Amino acid sequence: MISESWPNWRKFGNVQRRWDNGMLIEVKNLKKWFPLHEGWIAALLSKGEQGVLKAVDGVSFEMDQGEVLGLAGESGCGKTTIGMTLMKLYEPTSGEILFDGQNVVTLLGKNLKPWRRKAQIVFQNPYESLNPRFTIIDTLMEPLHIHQIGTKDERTDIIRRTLEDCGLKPVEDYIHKFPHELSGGQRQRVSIAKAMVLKPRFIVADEPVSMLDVSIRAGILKLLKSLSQNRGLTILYISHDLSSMGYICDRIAIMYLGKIVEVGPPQAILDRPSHPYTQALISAVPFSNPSIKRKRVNLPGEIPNPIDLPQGCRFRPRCKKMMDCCLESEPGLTEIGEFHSVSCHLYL
Amino acid sequence: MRGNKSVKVVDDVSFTVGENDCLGIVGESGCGKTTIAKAILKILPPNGEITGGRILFKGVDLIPQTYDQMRKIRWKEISMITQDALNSLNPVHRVGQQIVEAITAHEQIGSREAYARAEELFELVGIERRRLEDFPHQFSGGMRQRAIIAMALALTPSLIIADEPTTALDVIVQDTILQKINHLRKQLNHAMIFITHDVSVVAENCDWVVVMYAGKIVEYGRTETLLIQPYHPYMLGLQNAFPTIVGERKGLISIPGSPPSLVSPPRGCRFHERCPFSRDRCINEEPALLKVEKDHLSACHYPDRIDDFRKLAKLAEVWQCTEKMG
Amino acid sequence: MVSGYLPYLQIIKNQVQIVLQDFSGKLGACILLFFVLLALFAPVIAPNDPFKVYSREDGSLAKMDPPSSKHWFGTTHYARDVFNQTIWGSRVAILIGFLSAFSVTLIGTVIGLISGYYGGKIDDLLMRLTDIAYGIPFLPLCILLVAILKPSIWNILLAIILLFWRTTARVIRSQVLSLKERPFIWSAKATGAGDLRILFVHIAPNVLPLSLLYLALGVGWGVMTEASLSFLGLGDPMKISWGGMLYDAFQMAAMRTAWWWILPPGISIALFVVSVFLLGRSYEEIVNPRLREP
Repeated sequence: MISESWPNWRKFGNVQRRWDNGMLIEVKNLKKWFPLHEGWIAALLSKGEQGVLKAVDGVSFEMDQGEVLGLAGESGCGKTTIGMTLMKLYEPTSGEILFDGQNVVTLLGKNLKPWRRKAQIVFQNPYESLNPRFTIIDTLMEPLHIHQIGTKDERTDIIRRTLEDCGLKPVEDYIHKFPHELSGGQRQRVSIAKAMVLKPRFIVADEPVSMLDVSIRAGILKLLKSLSQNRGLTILYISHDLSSMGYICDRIAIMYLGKIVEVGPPQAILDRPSHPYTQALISAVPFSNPSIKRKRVNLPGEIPNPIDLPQGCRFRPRCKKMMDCCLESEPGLTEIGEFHSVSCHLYL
Repeated sequence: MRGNKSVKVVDDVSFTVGENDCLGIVGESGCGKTTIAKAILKILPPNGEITGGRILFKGVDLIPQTYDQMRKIRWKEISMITQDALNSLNPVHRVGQQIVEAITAHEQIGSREAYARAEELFELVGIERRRLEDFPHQFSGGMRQRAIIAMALALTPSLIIADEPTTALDVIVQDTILQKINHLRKQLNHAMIFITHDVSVVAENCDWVVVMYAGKIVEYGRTETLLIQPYHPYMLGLQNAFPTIVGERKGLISIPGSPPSLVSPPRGCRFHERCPFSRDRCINEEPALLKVEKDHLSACHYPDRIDDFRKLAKLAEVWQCTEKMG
Repeated sequence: MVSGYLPYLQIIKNQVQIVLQDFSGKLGACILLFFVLLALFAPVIAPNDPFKVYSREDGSLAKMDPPSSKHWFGTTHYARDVFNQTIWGSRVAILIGFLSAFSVTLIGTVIGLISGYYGGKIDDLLMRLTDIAYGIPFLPLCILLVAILKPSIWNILLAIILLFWRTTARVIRSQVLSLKERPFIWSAKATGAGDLRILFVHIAPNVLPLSLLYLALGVGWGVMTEASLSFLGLGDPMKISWGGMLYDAFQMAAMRTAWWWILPPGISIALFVVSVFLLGRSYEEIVNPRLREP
């Protein structure tokens, strides 16, 4: 069963890369740890090692030009941290981020600025993502001004076209308004336009629709999908809502406690999940059709404290299919199908 | 009410809840569902006022009740589960203490007995007894919600109003909590009003559903019939907007525009500006809530065209009728 | 806006309009305006030198004369006209009040912005500096300055500026700390905005209302401080100030007898300070919820 929303060149079983010069983005063993500051008394009394929150603990994946990769997981799994780290808003603790072959981790200061044109981010909260004192045209003018793009007239032109492409028509109705005069969905479109005005090649969309009303979400998601298909825009779509991912993502990655446990196309992840955590996650999503009864995989316990990680496989304490080797070592990502990898000892 | 203007947040809403029923109220932000919950318990904010109608609880109208009379009803007969447990739990007091307070405030029993009941309640919701001594911030999100549920059950009320009880929780925790809520309802036989924006939650947990839009009820009926065969165009649009995780994955269709401002609601049917099937009558005349099938009411002028509507609603072009973007 | 001039003037205009909506705001502004005009037009209203000595008709010095048609507020022990002195005293008040408030707010805001935004070692350093400023007692510092340098209004100004920025710095810093985490700031960083741009285009306009509040309060504090110091004798003997007038009266043990000497400067100080506090109060009621809106 092939999803019709997949671009042709990515059809399952019929692989064609659009660009032959490698992946747009390659993330290799990315880690982002946050040191915990304890008071000096606690530090004296503790065993000496300062607590560290390993938000992202060794994540590797790649994204092809024009691909929409979904990053899903529950709160605390590290998905938002990955987004912020990829955008260099958080400094990575270790690992590599290769953008078009260039390692972004080492870019600093002046060298960072030209890269910012290529990678942009859209945040979750439409009510806080825009400067309340700027009109819409001011908000969109700023990126162009910072990167010295075009003359004043050219800039106004670019802004108008971008707003139209993002669905804010007629442009006159929006261009001189302040954010508080627009609805949540409209504000989110402005945020997307702000990201798009620089014509980036990559966008991180961090829960772009979670704070919007249900009937409006589809419009924003469709916008993102069409931007990806029409412009070859690569999107990292971070969300906890798995059902929406089936619609716009070419692949979905599931995260648990700072690591990717499974990644694959929607058919694989949503219809035939392999990792025990993914199976539990998918089975927990309620159906809107009351006649369908779903089979639940009940997951015992709760997400452990990320500061105090379990030994061996992180999912081991809650896994029903636990084996001895799960205590000894953490499984790596192994390929079990076309574009489909799992991190579990069951498949090694 | 703001200054001289008053906003009708809830307009002519009627429904009934049977003794062991679970009624779900579904709608988007600003449709008035939380206001209904607060109105039943009469805990509206200072600028809110009930201007008409009746709220009959076990045959008694709640609106004319005085503050003291309501105090007796609140929590003993009707209790509430809120969205964010942090809003209901005092962060500087231990959880057990708060439950005991809730019990002793409404019943004449000693604190030791109350504590024993708190222990039972925790067992009922699946938390270890010793956690009664903890503070709210030591609980995880799921546990806090369970603590709130325990508090709501403390005096064995006949009706529990749950206002978005699982919206802030992760998917797996949400599932566990909802299962628990259902299980408890079957065990203790109370009635429930479930307020949420998530249609799938209502589909799985409620017997009846009320769909609200801009302060009015647009559809009302049994879950098993309403959600499979809705009659109102708004529900048809919502069904498109709620992607299913299994089955065929077709493109997403959104409803253009956004809910109308309640300060100056549109004349006629409040949904007409976003409805692809609206005609002149919809613009001028407000539709009444009419019976379309057994146990199924819908507020639409054209229930007879519903078969056409259902076919057309599945096509994306049909919904691109209005120019305003949401 | 944006790619050129900064909207600070616009913000100041907005805030002034907000303050003037409230009755206490209007009242405070009127009183303040009255004193400013008094100070500006002092040479016109009271054309004579405040140090001028007057004689009575019979030739003797007009010492300690009660109010009369010739001397509206009476005379001092030194035969000087109290009315003249009160009018001219407003100049010192306005000068010290506004200059000190402006400097203190500017220094405090800049330190708060830098400290809050950059964090880390810079924040530590600046906050320790603030702690030192809190630790140094004001009066002994003044006495020290007066002893080392001459007593003059500029030295009073110096003493105020050296220490009084501390409160504004702390408050602005905490404001910046919370603003720094808001998504639109992250968004600006992601767009490629440099630190200076973020500080002065995104953050500063949102803390400006708070700075303006402290500016208003600073004027009151400045005037009170100058008056207290002059009253203690640390003021400038070459300039007439209200506090100085009270000092003279106190020295001459005229507190109980020459009420006409005490009341004008006393009431003036009180009125001035009340006006500034009225402005601050009407502003503060609105400033807190409005901090998040344009």
